[in-house]
Amino acid sequence: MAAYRCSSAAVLVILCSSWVFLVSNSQGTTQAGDHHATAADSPQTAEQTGEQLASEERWEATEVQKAIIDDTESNNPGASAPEIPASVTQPKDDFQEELVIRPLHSGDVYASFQFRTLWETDFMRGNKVSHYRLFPKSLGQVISKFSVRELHISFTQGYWRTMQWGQPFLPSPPGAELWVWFQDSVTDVDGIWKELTNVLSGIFCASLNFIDSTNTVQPSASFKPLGVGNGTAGLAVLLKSEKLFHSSFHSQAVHIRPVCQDWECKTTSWELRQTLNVVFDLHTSGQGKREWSLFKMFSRTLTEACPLASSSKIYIDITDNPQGEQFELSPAPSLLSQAVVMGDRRTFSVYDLTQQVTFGTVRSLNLLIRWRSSDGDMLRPLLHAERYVAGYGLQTGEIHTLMYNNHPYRSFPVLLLDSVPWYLRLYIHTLTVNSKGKDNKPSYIHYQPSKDRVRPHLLEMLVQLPPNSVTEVTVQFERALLKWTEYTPDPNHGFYVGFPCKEESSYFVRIYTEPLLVNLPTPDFSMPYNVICLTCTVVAVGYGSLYNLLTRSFQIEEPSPGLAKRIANIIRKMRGVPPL
Amino acid sequence: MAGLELLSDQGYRLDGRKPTELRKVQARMGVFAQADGSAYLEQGNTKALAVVYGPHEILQSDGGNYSVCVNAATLAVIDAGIPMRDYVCACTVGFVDDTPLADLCYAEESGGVSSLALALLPRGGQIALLQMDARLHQDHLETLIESAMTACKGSSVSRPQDCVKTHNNMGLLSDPNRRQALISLLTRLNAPICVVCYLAGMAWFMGLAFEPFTLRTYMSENAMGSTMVEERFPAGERALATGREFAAHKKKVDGMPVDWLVKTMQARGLEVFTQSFSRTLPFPDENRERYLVKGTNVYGILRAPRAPRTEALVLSAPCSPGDNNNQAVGLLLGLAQYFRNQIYWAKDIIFLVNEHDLIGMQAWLEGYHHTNTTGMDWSPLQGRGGSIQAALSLELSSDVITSLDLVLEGLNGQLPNLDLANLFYAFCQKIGVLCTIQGKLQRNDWDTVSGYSHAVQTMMLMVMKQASGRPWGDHGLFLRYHIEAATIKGINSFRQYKTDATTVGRLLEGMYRKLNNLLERLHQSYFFYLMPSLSHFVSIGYYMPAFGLLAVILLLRALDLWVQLVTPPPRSEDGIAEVDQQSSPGVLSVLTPLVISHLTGVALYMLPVCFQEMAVEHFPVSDTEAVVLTAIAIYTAGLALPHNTHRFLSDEGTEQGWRVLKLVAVLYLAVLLGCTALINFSLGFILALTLVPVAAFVTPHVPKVPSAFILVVLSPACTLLFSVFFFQELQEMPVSLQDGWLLYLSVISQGILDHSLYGSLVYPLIALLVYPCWLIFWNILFWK
Repeated sequence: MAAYRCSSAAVLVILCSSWVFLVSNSQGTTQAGDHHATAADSPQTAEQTGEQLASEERWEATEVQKAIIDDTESNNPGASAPEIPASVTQPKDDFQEELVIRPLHSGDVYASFQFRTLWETDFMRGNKVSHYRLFPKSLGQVISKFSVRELHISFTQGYWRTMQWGQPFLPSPPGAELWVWFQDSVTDVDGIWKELTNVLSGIFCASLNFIDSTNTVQPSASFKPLGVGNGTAGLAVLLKSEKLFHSSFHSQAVHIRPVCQDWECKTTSWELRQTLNVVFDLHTSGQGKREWSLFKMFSRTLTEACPLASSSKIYIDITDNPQGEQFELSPAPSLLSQAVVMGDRRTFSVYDLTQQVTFGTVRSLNLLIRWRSSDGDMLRPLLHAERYVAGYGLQTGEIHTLMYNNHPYRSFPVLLLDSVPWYLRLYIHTLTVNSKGKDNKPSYIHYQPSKDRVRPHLLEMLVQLPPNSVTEVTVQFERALLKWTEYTPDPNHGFYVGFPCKEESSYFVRIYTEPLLVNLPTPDFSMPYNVICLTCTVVAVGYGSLYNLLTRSFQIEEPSPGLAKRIANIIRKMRGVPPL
Repeated sequence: MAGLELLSDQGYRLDGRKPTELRKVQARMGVFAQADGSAYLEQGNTKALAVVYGPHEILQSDGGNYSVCVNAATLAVIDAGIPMRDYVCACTVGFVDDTPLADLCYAEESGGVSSLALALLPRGGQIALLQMDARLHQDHLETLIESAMTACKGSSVSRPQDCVKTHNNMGLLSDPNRRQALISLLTRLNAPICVVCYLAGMAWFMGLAFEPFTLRTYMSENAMGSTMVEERFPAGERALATGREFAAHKKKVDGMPVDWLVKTMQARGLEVFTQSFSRTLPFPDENRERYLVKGTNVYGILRAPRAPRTEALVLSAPCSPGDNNNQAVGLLLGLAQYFRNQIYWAKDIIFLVNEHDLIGMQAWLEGYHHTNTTGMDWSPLQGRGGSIQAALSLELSSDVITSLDLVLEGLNGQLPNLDLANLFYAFCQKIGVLCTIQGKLQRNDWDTVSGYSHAVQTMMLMVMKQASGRPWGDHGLFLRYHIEAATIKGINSFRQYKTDATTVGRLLEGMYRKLNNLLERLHQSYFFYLMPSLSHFVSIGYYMPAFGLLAVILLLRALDLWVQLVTPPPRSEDGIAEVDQQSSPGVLSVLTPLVISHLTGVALYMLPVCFQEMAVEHFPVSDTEAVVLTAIAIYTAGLALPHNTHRFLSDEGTEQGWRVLKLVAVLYLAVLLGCTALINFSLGFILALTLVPVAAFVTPHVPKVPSAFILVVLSPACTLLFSVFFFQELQEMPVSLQDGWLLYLSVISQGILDHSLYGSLVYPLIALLVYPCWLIFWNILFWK
């Protein structure tokens, strides 16, 4: 079994992939959302639009479904939602939605959507699955064909600002990231990986096919499978694509993994989670007012629960606001719930959309969060990291990775994974790890050197971060000269160097640092034109004539012989005598 | 036939000849001067050299050796002038597939062809020699001899012409005689050519400012050209109010109001960080009254939405002492507030307020890139925005302005990409703001004398500033990090036409939005240019010939010296040996002045700063004066030092000795100026203007006193002195001699400070390389 992870480095890939995917997916969800709204009011409309999207048809088909899967997932706020035993679940697949809103310190608002589909089937036992209801067929086929055990793909625009926003529910790096665990039965991982990325690029309309061996690593220690976990629940919310583009951070992800159906975990079902994480900005989306409402965020309010989903809830994170001293919520929440998120016990207000009470008398829910205080101090998150390139010039440089541990007395073991493209030649002997001015020897180092044009550098280290410290990892590199066809179409933009990520192991946190933009020595690509036009002209006209002048002999051409002489010569020629 | 196919079906031979075609014949006669007669003959690849008194020699063999030798011998005899009845000419023929082949090559000879060598006296048609080794049917013999005779005649037809051509046959350079002629021409006309080149170089340079010879600026970068940007910045008044608030806080804390800035930036939604730095100057800077510099930079980062923190733009404003630049900081904060509420940013924007102008900027840039080139102390930066793509520095000291001035010249004469200037110019045109470069408005009357002199003035100001190698604005330090940057200065003069802060803000907004659209770093346009006005530029291709014409003088002089060195004096019999004898003791006499002048250079570079304390103790001078006066003292002492020393080490300085030394010095200067001009054209050109005449005319035989005077006047230090006066003149701020001298002293101290503070290379270049080079010429003048 092998974990494959790729952070697609090329800018083209990142931009294309996220944009294209964004458009296609948000359209899908928006239309699906529209359909909920219209389905109740005028079924005719629903029928008319029902042809448009496969997903809508599926949703129609599962209208009667009411089941709720038990949710005990530790890192999800739905953990303590009302539980109904799994055995009640009659249909073989199930759909849940949820929206978690967390008002952030900075005045921004973090909204995390989760659409979760559970399917009790087993692709791996050889039984051919051909009947699909809620689970997308395209993804199901991918799982069975490529013997995938887990698949995680994310498309992100923007960098998660840990300093301002704290930890995200689901970390994702800027750009596109794909990581996959294959089943043991897979022998030719490289071949399957290549095929898989190509298939996925088709499904997601993203240039994932640019993922190849040069930007893929096979981590030895990090990116362990999330494993057979338990389910979680969710609730439905409406999206409006145009508003999502006005956000500070935008990440979409698809996670597929097997989950247990029962305690013994004898049978597993497949879980598909589609998530969308958005951070709305106080200044650009909120006009600088510390007041957020569903309408302000999404340009619409909720009027009804999704009739198709088995559970549909909105959670508001009020951990920092137990008595409402920081912000107030209206309407006042009816239900509270608690969950442990990343080692942190957090409290949520819950709005259950399946209950009519939630919508009140106006039959519309427009959640309002109004801040009372307005201090936007920066957080001091326990763990955060940053990275930059030091030095100037186009020959050498140094990659600095800073890892902050702000915990007053606890040290954390951190697994650092760094993949650097081959065109930065790392001088691995210059690798230093420093904490508090002292050498901090990593307890585990795995380094796989790059091969030019074949594979990137892979560096994995297990580092202990001392309490209240900054740990600095530096390594020097030299910039390689590329062949002129290897440059991207925008070579002067620079080349992206993937983001390392840190995994903290005692409770699982994954932190991504920003990607780096490194300029390589770039030739002047207008040069071929200059060479052809200028140099050739100079050589041909200037040098050529000068050379001729200097090396060629010139002699006076004898005036053409007179007529008599020419006739005489003709005669001499006929006679066979040399001409005059 | 075994082996090669000697005759193709089409009737062509191995080397593509027709059966009767001869190989290419090249002949040269009189190749040996010593011999009575000699000839060198190439027939195809067979090359033979025949000398009449000696044995003949085959240089290279490719078949037909015998006949070629005969031909060569004939030519040699012709060359020797021995009367002959007729020219003997010979040819080898072969017979393949019923076809006679003339003039066999080696492959054909060895391919089993029955060959026949025939020598003919062509005039009478008599056969002088007939030789055949192989078997041949009798029937074919007739045709073979026939074809051999035709071939011989063929080659003899060209023979008299060959003979005439002998001396003509080679081109100018490959022919020793002509080369000799050319060289002697160059030697004879060396001085006039040099003068013409010098004048032509100056004329070319002056012509650069003439508008018809310059190019109009145009936006090369597509990302900035076609996209429409609407400027909507509304809050100029509020920005000015913020500026006043800033001024009040600045006055209150008497320096950078760090806390206020942090709070204000945070309130505008930026991520705010500070950086403290300290620097002890090598000696007190009296111009700015600073020695121990301690300060804090404050910068706020506007994080672009949905961007991965890979790219950033910088807008900076210095926190200057007194009432300067308060409006700039106000406008910066106003823009920050406005920018923060926009959603279109794709790059992070860093708003930087730097204290102690360039020193603060240097600390911030070093911190950002985590380098330390100048030994400054700074605290590491906490927040970054990826690689910086472009930067603008804003200087604004009044509420309204009449014009905006663009400053481009950076450290070591580096310039930002021309597109940045184009961008500024485009927006000034669009918004209707008066814009200047070097403080000069552009004029349309290029065809009048005053219009032309205005353009010359603008360009010369740029040349002088670039040559100084110092950063002329806070932007100047960015350029080292490959960040395109410029300073925009608001100027308030007595003109009627006024522009308010809102308009300046809109201009900056437009520029930043266009820079935000950049996909790649600015790279499309020129990095090497001069600007006679904002709308016109002179590219490197146009201004380099001006320098080239000056540099060619050095090469001509070197050629002249070389010729003088290798040409034996007329009286000596064996020139080469004599030269060797003369120049071999010269090695020491050449090396000694070289080493001594460079040691003087090292002293000039090191001692002023090292000895300042001692100088202050012993003389009644301030620190700055001590450094500058020490430098001048060492410089002057250098004039006395080296020119006598070679005599102690070696014996009498010979004629050849100074020639070798001057040859070395001239070539050294050529390389030095060439490299300088490539990096910093202006500096290279100005140095060439003064040093090239020195290098050209100095010999030990010119009259000593006037020459020494000229040499001193044209020395690097005097060049700097003249430049100071000239620069003031260009700026229309002429100074008296006394003020000029003081200015000169402060310029020297600034140069030394720029070197140690920011890494400017002009001072070490002058001290370590240019000055020693000039000393060598000084040494030559006093050669004994």
